[in-house]
Amino acid sequence: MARNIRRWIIGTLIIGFTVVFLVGTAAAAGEKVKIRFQTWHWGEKPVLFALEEFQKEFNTANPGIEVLRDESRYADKETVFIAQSQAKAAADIAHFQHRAIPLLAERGYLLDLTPFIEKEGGQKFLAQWDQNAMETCKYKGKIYCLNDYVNPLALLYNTQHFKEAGLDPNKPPTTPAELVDYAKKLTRNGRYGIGLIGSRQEGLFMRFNPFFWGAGAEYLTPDNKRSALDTPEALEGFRYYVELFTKHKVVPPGVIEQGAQEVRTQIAHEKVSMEIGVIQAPLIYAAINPNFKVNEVMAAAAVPSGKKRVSTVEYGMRVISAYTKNPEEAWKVYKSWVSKDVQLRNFKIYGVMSARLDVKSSPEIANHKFAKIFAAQAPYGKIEPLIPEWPKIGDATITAVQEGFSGTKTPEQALKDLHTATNRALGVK
Amino acid sequence: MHSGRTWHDRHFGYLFVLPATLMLVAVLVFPAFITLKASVTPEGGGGWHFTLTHYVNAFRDPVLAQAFKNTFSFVAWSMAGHFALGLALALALNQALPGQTFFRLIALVPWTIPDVVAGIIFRWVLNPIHGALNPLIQMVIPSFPAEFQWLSSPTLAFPSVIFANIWRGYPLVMVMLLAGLMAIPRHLYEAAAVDGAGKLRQFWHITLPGLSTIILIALALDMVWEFRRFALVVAMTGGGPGTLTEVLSTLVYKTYFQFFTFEYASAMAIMMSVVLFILSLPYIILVGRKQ
Amino acid sequence: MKFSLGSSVRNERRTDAIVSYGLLILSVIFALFPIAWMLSTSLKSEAEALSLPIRWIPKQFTLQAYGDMWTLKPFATYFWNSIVVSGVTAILSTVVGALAGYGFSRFQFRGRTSLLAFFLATQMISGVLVIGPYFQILAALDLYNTLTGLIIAYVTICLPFAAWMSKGYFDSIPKEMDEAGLVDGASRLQIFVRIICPIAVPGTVSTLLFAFLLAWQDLLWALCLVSIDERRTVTLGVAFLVGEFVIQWPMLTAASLIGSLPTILLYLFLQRYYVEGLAGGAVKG
Repeated sequence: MARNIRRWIIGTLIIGFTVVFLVGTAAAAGEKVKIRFQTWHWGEKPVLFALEEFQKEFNTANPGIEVLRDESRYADKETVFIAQSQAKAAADIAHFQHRAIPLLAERGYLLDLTPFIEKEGGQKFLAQWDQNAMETCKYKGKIYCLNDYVNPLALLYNTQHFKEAGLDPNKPPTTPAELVDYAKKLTRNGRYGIGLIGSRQEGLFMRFNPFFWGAGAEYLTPDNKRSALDTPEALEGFRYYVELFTKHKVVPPGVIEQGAQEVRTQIAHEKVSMEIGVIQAPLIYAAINPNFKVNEVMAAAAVPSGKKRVSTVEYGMRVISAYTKNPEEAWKVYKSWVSKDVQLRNFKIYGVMSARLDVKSSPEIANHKFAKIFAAQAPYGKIEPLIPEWPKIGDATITAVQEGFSGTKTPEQALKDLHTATNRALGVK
Repeated sequence: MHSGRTWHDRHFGYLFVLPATLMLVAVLVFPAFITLKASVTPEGGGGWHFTLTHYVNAFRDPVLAQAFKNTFSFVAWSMAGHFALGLALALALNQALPGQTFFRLIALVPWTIPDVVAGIIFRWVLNPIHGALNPLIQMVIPSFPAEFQWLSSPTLAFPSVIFANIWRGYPLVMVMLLAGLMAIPRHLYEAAAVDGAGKLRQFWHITLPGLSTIILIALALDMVWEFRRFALVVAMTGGGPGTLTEVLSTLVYKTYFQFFTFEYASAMAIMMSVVLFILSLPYIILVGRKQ
Repeated sequence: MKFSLGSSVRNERRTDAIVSYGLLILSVIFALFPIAWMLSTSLKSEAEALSLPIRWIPKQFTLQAYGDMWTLKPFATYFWNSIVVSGVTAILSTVVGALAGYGFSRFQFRGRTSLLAFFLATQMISGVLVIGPYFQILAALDLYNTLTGLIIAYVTICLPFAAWMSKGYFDSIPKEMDEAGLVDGASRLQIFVRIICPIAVPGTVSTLLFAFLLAWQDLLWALCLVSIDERRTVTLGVAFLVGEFVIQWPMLTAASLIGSLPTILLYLFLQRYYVEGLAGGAVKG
């Protein structure tokens, strides 16, 4: 008898738990439409403040709609969206960088925004954005986003270290050869000349590309169908990046483990004198090392890319899921986020550069010590080929660079294998 | 006619295994079939056209071949490390020594740290500039280079990852072996001592046979799980330098979630499962025979 | 016959003890050195955690991270979620696994070996490919963002291990005990619950621990199946401290260390049954 009762109790407890949780998550059938606003930035100060401001402001101004905080993780941002899209339960608005757009669009995960844009005024509406940027939002004739921010890269350097090494802080290097020369002079007393990224992240080829493209090389033929990595220019650019570490030794050891954050930490603790960084970098240095006098000591300049003046640029954008149950409300939230006021506020709070022309040309940016240099790089910004095969090619590029850094292969061999891998990725026989 | 199979046997057996089987089928088998179907579908989805191109490409893929090689090496070394360390510690912990519980708890701790955290921490600790290991070694060996490379070195990266995996995984094997040791009756050892058998002979003739089943179970289960080990490797090296630490599970993940080639990833996963199944066949047969 | 230990045996025992202690002390250093670094980091401020040169002993001890865990981030919620999910997973997978293990052990039904093989084969299905379709099921049942959805996934993954381990343990319990119950007129289920289970409880403890840890430490499933803070687990909470621009090292290490406590406590509590259980379960299996 006692055993029976015990069994019943355990069974009820288990069922009880299940019921409690099922009920507990059944949303109250309110009249508010909930829009899941997904980004990994919810966990990052100071971006968090900008997001919270936006959320508060929008929710107050639009009582029928509620912007919900939906957190994803930077390292897995695509993973979460893919898994949820496969179940047709993705977040209404998600945040991606430009490389993901062709892939997501190809699989049908994104909502075509053309009808909404037409209603807003079509071309006139679109003209508010940087047209180079807008190219990244188009795929096979449809428009899937409006650009949020632009992230060009620039050279960031420590003027104090320059002075100590006998270099003129007002004359940053302007050619790759000068960069090596300066870096060698700066590599002294336990410090290294320049911090580079060698770890497996997109940041690697963002630092690599200016030198690669600057040498006159391209990843692919103009029709994007074959690899163009077998040119002497490609070898020159590839070699240059790798030899900064292997031959000139101006990069700290452990380069293959160095991601963007490690390099910024090295700058903030004055372990390296230069880096190729993003516009948020100065704010991040200050956050890492409050004792580091960023504004007095750091300066920015164009990346000394080579024969061609070029810099990498990365675009960030929000997208609306093709499976959203409330497209109209999602569009309202979306439109508000890319509006002038919100974009300008974002710059003020976390220093990001908007892709909106009226914000880009605003006095706040023109007068900001760092922002104006970065803004000046934007016209020279170039992006990787916008094709679905790019992630494979990018990944193979990272592999090749790492093989060069570690000495597993010579630069020639690594590049040759990369050429083969690229052709294989493109399905070239 | 099979002897021993009564009406009871047949029907009640099914009832007992039913709940577990149902759950497995509902949650795991349906996706497994979707994976199988995807692996023979052309890239990009598309109804009921079938093609074997993914498998053909997989056989030609040098990165996949490298990943297979790395995985076998990774699994073999991890199993060896888990077993060696697990057995040594189990033998030590099987003695009635003071402080036994304390040592058992400490030995368990690495298992309680999630894979992903262990990977992040090891990566940081082994870093030449920011890591805590090199300064520590320098305190003991002053001539050790200050900025010695571990994970960036083509020769030391893989051993470092295996080391971290051994650190993380030995407690489970240790605990299973310890239990096995405790089940061997002490009087067998005492009798052998009286007969004049030395420690080594006792180990060989009493301990090992008594442990044989559990060693088999521990190794087989360890093999299956280490084949799937994923978060640790990703967090530590991301597969690098180059492809030196790329294993099958990280490659499948990358191919699926970063390259968006779901169908090709499915083919790779099917190949991985088939290989794993073949490797565990001996064990399935052995266990099936018992009882 | 009087049997007295000779001095050679005593010496042997002492050597044993010395060797064992030596090994155990080495093992403590081996097991704890990364933990020591984690502890050191957790007692630093964020700025000091990243400073160069590396310092093992913090220049300025602070318990900031241990406090921030609960105030700046809702780790209390995360802990509650993790404990519930891991606890229920442990219990459910053990119970369902034990039922299956008993079935394999006592009944020679047709397809038994194949089913055993099937149970193991399901462990080889890559999680990456299961998540999308599993998510479809969850979304259809409106179980997205629920702990139940997580529990069902984890229990299913643990079942093969649970079934195999408990089969091994049941195999070591003589069939005569079942038969005695049958003679008394009990039904099969009654025999299972009233006669076998009480003896078998120690054997299920290994499964409890394994399942608890698997559910606690999982990242991928929790990441995809839960997107709101209220349902996040500890492991997920820790992983989220690694962002695009910042890694919050002190909080990451503090939370991970506190996160291992439940398992340690569980092990302490189960230790008596645990070790005995594995002994019966696997040796004779």
